[in-house]
Amino acid sequence: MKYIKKGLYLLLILLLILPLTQLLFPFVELKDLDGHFELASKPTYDLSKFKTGEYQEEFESYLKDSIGFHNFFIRLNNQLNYSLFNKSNASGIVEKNKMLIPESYIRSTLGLDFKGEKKLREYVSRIKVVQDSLQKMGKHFIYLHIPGKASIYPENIPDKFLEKKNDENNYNTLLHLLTEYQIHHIDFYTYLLLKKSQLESQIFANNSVHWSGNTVSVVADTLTNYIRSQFKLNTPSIKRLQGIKTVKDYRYTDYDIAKSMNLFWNIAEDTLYYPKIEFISNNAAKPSFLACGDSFFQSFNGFYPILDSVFSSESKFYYYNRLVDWPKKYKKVGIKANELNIEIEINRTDIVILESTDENIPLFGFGFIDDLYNHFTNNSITDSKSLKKFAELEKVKNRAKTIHKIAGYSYEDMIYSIASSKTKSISKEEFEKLVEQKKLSILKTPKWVARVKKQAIERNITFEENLRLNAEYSAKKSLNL
Amino acid sequence: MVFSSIIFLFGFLPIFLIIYHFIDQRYKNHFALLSSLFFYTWGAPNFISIAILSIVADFFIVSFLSKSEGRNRLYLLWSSILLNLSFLLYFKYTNFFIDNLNSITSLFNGSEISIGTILLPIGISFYTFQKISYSVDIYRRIKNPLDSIVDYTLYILLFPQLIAGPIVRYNEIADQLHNRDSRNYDDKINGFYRFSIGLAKKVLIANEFGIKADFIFSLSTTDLSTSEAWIGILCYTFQIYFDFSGYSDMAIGLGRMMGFSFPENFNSPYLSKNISEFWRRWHITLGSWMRDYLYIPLGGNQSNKKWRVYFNLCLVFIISGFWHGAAWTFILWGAFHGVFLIADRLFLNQISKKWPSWIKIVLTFFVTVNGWVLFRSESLPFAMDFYRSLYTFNFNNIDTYLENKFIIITIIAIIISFGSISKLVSTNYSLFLSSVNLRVSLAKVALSIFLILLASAQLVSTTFNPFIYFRF
Repeated sequence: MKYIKKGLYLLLILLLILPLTQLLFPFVELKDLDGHFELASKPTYDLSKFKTGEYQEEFESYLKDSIGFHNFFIRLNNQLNYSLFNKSNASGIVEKNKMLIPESYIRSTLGLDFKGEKKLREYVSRIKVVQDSLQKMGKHFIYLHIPGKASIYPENIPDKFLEKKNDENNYNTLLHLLTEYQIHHIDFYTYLLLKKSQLESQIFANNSVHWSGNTVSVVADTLTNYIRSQFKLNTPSIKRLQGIKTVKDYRYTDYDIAKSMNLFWNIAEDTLYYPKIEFISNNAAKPSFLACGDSFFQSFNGFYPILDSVFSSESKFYYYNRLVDWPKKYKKVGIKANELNIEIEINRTDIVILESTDENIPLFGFGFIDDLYNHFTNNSITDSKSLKKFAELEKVKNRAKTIHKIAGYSYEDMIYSIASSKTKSISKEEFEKLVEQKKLSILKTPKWVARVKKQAIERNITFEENLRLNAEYSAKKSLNL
Repeated sequence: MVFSSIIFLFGFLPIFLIIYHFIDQRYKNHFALLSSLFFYTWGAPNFISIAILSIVADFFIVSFLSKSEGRNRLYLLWSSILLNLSFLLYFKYTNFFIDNLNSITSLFNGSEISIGTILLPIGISFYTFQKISYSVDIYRRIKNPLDSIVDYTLYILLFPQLIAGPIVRYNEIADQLHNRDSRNYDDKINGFYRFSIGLAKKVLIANEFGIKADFIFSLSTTDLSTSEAWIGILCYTFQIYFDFSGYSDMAIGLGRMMGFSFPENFNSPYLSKNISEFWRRWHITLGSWMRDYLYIPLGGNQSNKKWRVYFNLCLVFIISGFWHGAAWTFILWGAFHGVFLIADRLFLNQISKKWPSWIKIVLTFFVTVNGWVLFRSESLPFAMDFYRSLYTFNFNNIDTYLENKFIIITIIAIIISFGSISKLVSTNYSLFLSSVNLRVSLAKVALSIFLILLASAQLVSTTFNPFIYFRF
C-alpha cells in the first residue's frame, strides 16, 4: 500500500511539473487561440529592476502567459464559464435568447453614442460636396448603410441596456439627412427588415458579429442592381442558385464571436444556408470603385468572390481608411491608403463607395470623406519644405520602388504620394480656428499688443491686418509649417 | 511570490517538492531554508537583509538568555521583545503616528513633520510574533533554545507560514525542526489535498467575491443603495474568510508535505454563537498568541477586579485590531469586537442562553458582518457613510450583480461556511480528512487534481488575485 501511495504522491508532483516541462521542452502540440491578445514577453534580468520588484512582476506575467498548456487552461476556463454559468469570455459580448451580440452595437442601436444632429449635418454636407464634385467629373458616389446585429434583433438586447435608451440614434438622424441632402445611398437596415421573413436563413448567425453568407449574397445582388439601374454602369449580374444548409460547416465570419470565445466544443447549432452564386457577365468592361469601410465590406469577398467577379481589378477597398485591403496584391505588401494619391485614385474610379455600420457612424467616414472634401475644395495647407525633404529620403525612395508597379504609378508620382502621406497638413478650417486662438492670445498680452501696434505703423497697415499676420505666423510656427 | 500564482504553483513548488523529497534527511532543513530565503527575496528583495539581521541578533540574545539566570534573564527577554517590536513599530506604525501628530500640530498651526513613506516588509507582523514566542518560550523554560542558527532562521522564515501565518509558536514546532517524519506518504497526500482545497477556496471563491466587493467599495457612498451596500459587505465577508482560510489551508498543507504539523487557524467561524466563540474559531493562532503572550501576562481573568478583566480584554482587542493595520479603522474594529466580548460576559451570554442556536448564529454573523465594514473601509468617514448606506433602506434593482456564476459561487460559499452546522457533515468530513484508507487517498488525489486544474485555468485566465492578509 505504501508504494501505491508513493505513486499517487509522485503523480501529483508530476501534475505540477508538467506545465514547466511543456514550456521548456514542448511535447504536446496545442491548438492556437483565436482572437487578438497580447502576451507578456520574457524580461531581461536587471539587478536594479530586481531590487524594485519590477523584474519579478514582469517575469511572473511572462510565465503566466507562456506556461506550458496555457492555451488548454484558457479553453478550460472559458468552457467551464460558458457551460456551467452561461458566461462568455469574449469581452464586450452579451447574450440573450442564445444570441451573442457585441455591446457596441447595442449602444449604437439605443443611441448611447449619438453624436447630435449638428455634427451629423456637417458630415452629410461634406458628403454632399464630395458627391457633387464627383458628379461634375462624371463619377458616382454611394453611401452604404449596414445595420449592426442589435438593430436587426432588438428583442435580443438584454433588459439592463434598455433602461438607458436614448430617443435618437445616429442611424435615424443620418438616414434623414442623407435623404434631405439627396445623397445616393442604400439603407440595408430597412431593406433587410423587409426581407427578414423571406430569407432562407438568419440575417446574422447567432454566434457572429457580421451578417451571414446568405445575407451577403442577397445584398450583393441588390448593390449590383442599384449600380446598374442608378449609375447605368455595366456590372455582371449575380444569380443565386440552390445551395446547402449546414449546422456545423460555417463559412468565413459566421462563427466569429464563438471562435474568439476559445472553447473546446462548438456552441449552439445555427442552421445556416449558403446559396451557390453564379456571375453572369456580358463581356462589357467592369466598373471600378474606390471604397472605404469596415469589416462588413470585406465580407463581399469573404464568402463569395463578389468584388473579384463584379468589379474591375483597378478598384480599391480602404479598410478604415488605413490599409488597402483589396485587391490582395496591395494587402500583401501592406500598402496604406494614405500612400496612394487621392487625385490619381479618383481619376481611375467610376464609383466612390462609403460603407459604414451603425457602430462606425461616429467615425464620420473614417477620415475618408474629409480627405475627399479637402481635395475637392482645395482645403488643406501642406508644409512644402517637409514634403521636399521627405521626397529625398532613401526610405521613401525604396518604398516607392517596391510598390509603384503594384499601384500602377510612375516612380516619381509614387515618391510624391508617399512623401505627402508623411507630411503634416491641416485643413483650412482647422488652421482658421488656430489663427483665431492665436489672435486672442495676442490680445490678452499687453506687451504683444503694443508690439503689433508699433509694427502696424511701421508696415503702414491697420492694426487688424497686422494682428492677423502675427496670428498666422504664430499658428504656422506652432504647427511647424 | 504568492501561493496562488503560476510561478509558485508550476515553478517554485514542484521544483522544491522534488528536491526536498530526494535530498538526504540531514540537509532537508538547509534546503528548506535556502528555498525560503529565495521565496522571501523574490517578494521583498530590499527587506531580506533586515529580516536576517534581526533574526541573527535575536538568536544570540535568546542564546544568552537561556544561559543566564536572575534579572539578566528578564533584561535579555525585554531586549529581544523590544528589538522585535521596534522593527515592527518602525516599519508598520511610523507613518501612522506621524500623520496623526501632523493632524494635531496643524490644529495649533504647528509645522508638519515629513519622513516620506516607509514601506512595510511583507510578513513582518507574523514573523515578529513568532520571534517573540521564541524568546518568551525560552524564558519560560517551556522549550530549550535551538542550537543551530539554521534551524532558528528556518523556524522564522519557513516559506509556507512566513507571510500570512498561521502564527506558529515556538513550543508547537520546536521538536519538529530537527525531528520530523518527512517520508510519510499519508501526510504528503493529505498535505497536497489540503493545499488544493486552500487554492480552490482562494482562487475559485474568494476572488469571485473580491471582484464584486472591490467594485462596490470603489463606488461613491452617495450613489450606494442599501441593497448594493449589503451585497458589497456580504461579498467582503465571504472574501476575507475564503481568502485567509484558503491561505492557511495552503500553508498547513505545504507544511504537512514537508513533515511539519502547523496549528489550525480556522474552524467554521461564521457558525459562532457569540463573539467570544468567534475568536476561538477565527484566526485561532492570533487569538491564542494574544491570550498566552499578552492577555495572561496582563493578568487575564485572574484579577479580582472585574473592571480590570474588562480593561485587559478591551486592550488586547484594540492591540489585535492595531496589529492588523496602522489605521483608526482597525483600532475601532478591534474595540468593536472587544465591546461585544465584554457584553458577552456582562449579559449577552446570559440573555441568549435559552435562544435556539440558529438565532445566536445569525445574530453573531450579523455583528461580524458589521465589524467588517470598519475592517474594509479606507477611512472612518467612509465607514460611517457605508453604515449609513446599509441602514437608509434605499433599495434598488440589483439584477446586474446577480450573474449565474455569482449566484452559484455564493451558494457553494454558504454551504462551506455553514455546512458543518450539521453534525453528520462535520463528523464525516473530519473522518475523510484524517483517513489514511487507500480508497480515501485515491479520492483525495482525484479531488486535488480536479481542483488544481480548475484553479490553474482560472489563474491563467484572469488577473484579479490579491491576498488580503499580505498587507498585515
